[in-house]
Amino acid sequence: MKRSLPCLIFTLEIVALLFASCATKAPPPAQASAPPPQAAPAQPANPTPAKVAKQRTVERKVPVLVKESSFYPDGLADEYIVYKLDDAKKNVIEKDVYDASRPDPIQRVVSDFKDGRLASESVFESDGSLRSRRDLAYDTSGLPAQETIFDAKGKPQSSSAYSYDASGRKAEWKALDASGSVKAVSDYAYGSSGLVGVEMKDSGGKPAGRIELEYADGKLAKRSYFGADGSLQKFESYAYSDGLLATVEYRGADGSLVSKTSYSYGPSGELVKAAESGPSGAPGEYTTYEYAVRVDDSVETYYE
Amino acid sequence: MKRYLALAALALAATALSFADETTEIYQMLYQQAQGLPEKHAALLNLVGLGDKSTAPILASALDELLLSGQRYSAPGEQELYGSTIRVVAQALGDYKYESAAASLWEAAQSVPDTLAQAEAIMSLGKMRALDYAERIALKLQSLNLQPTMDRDQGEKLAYACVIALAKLKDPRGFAPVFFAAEGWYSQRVRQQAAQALPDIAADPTDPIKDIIGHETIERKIRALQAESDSKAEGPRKIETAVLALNLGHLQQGRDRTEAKLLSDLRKLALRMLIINKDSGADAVSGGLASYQKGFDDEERLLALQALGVNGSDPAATALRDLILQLNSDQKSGIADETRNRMAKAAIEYAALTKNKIVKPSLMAVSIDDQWSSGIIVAAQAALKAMP
Repeated sequence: MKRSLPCLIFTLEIVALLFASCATKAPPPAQASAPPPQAAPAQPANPTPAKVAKQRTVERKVPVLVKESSFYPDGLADEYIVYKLDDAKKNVIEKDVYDASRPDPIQRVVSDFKDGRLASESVFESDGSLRSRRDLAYDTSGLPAQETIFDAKGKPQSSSAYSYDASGRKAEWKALDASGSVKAVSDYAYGSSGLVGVEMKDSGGKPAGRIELEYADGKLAKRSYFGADGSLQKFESYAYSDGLLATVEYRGADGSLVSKTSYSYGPSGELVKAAESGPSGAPGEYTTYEYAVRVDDSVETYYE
Repeated sequence: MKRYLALAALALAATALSFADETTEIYQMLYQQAQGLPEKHAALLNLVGLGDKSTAPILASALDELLLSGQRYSAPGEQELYGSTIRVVAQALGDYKYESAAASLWEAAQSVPDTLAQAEAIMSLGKMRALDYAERIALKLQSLNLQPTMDRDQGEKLAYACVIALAKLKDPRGFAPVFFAAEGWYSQRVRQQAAQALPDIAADPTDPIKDIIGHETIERKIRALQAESDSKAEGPRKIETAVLALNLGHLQQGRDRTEAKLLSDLRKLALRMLIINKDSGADAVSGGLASYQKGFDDEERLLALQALGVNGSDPAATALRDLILQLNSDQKSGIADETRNRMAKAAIEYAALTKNKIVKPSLMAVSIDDQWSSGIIVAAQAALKAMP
């Protein structure tokens, strides 16, 4: 669950933006200049007056994740995470993890932003001591280029270096140790639907395993993991309902079900629940998600 | 809209997946290749930082390896790093509820020199609800409760972890040690946590509570009975505890007025529990009657009458009948005062509650005795009308 949180938050924003309810905030103001000819819609054949481009402010309500609660299968609260957002409700500035039975956070993750981008993330223990810090550096295109992990004393522990292809897609990830020696390299391959494979190699360039991704109707359908010897280790199957990810099944190499996660969504398409179940279908732990609403204004051009 | 839905789903899947799982594979490999504690620590930080449940088996084997190699790290700097590494791994195993690592976590709780790592291991056992360790954690807390440890801070941390773990385990065996931790030698933080955990520590804490009521001081009896009252135990279980407390509250003699008052407080609480839980058995009748006859104050006596009325069984109705007849007889003999009148009126009204014919003769006796005030006679007549 925690692994995908930063991605999930980002994703939820995307999902929310796509599903954002729109409302016209103000009457459409008159547009001073005429629209460029190529932007105008096709004119009807009858001699009605040409349409004029106008602009209006559109309000979008975007759900932003503020709380995540996990429960044992019997419904007993396990822990919850409170996300503290910046004033604009755009960035998570602090993530506080609470045990349901304890008053103080058992872990805090504090994020620092620079130039609107995540610059570092510090993890604090329940006693307030620093566990680790992660610093990020970006390339000229604004993509993450370097990531360094420091221990509680500020000593570098390991780092990662990323490079990208011309389309800005991650092409290579190098995992380095504290001294800067390359320990592993991952190469990414893309097809028309997106990422199709990740080749992993050790420091000597020997294969360490690979991941293959398959798509159906443009959506990820299966992800398979292969060991260094090329044998299948495990795979995951993805199923969708109304275009939204509905279930992920985790299976062993022989196809036997290991576990399954089912996802439920709210009216705006926001994830509201992820429930795990075991191989026999017995309910497992589940997580619920709560949101605040951010109102984004944007200017929209329309023709009248 | 459909197009957006599809895009959103793609975003959800692709974003969450493409940047995560090769990292898991790679960091697992790096851990396996790591030499020496600093490298292992760095690799484990990365691995744990992923928050990926699928890493639990390798984290468990890392914990085993660390436990085996513990004696190698004797220098202060190494010990600190060792403790910190165990702590990080133990916490993650608890988060992932990886019960296969329970034995190793218990070993860590016993053998790792770092107190915080021990505490983390204990809390993780609670988090994964490793019930096999409930008794061991309960005994550990029980032992810590006995007296302050040489290093108070260490004892506090371990006690706090035990309380947290037992609260998660929800096993009745955890009740007594947490009960005593709430009034132990610890700082307020630990005591408060224990007191907060108590109501939810077991769905039915009746057995350990009865044990405390049977053997402990009056103050603890009261606290234990209150805990039973606040618990989620079924009504009949609360009633059996209240009956025990009521009877013990009569058996024990207060050495002074303060103690007599405390015993009365215990009995009053028991009587309230009998009323709230609508006791209708015969077991509490003698205790109720004793509270009426020998009660510390009028409040106890009135509660006793109410408990008998709510009970309504033949023995309870018989007790009410007899005491009303006794009051009536006293009245006839000219023994009368304000308190007796108040008790008589209450007894009559609670007799009506019984809806039991057994009380009828006593009500009739009062209703035709013009030595009573009109208020009491009217109450007796009304009670008679309520009789089936």
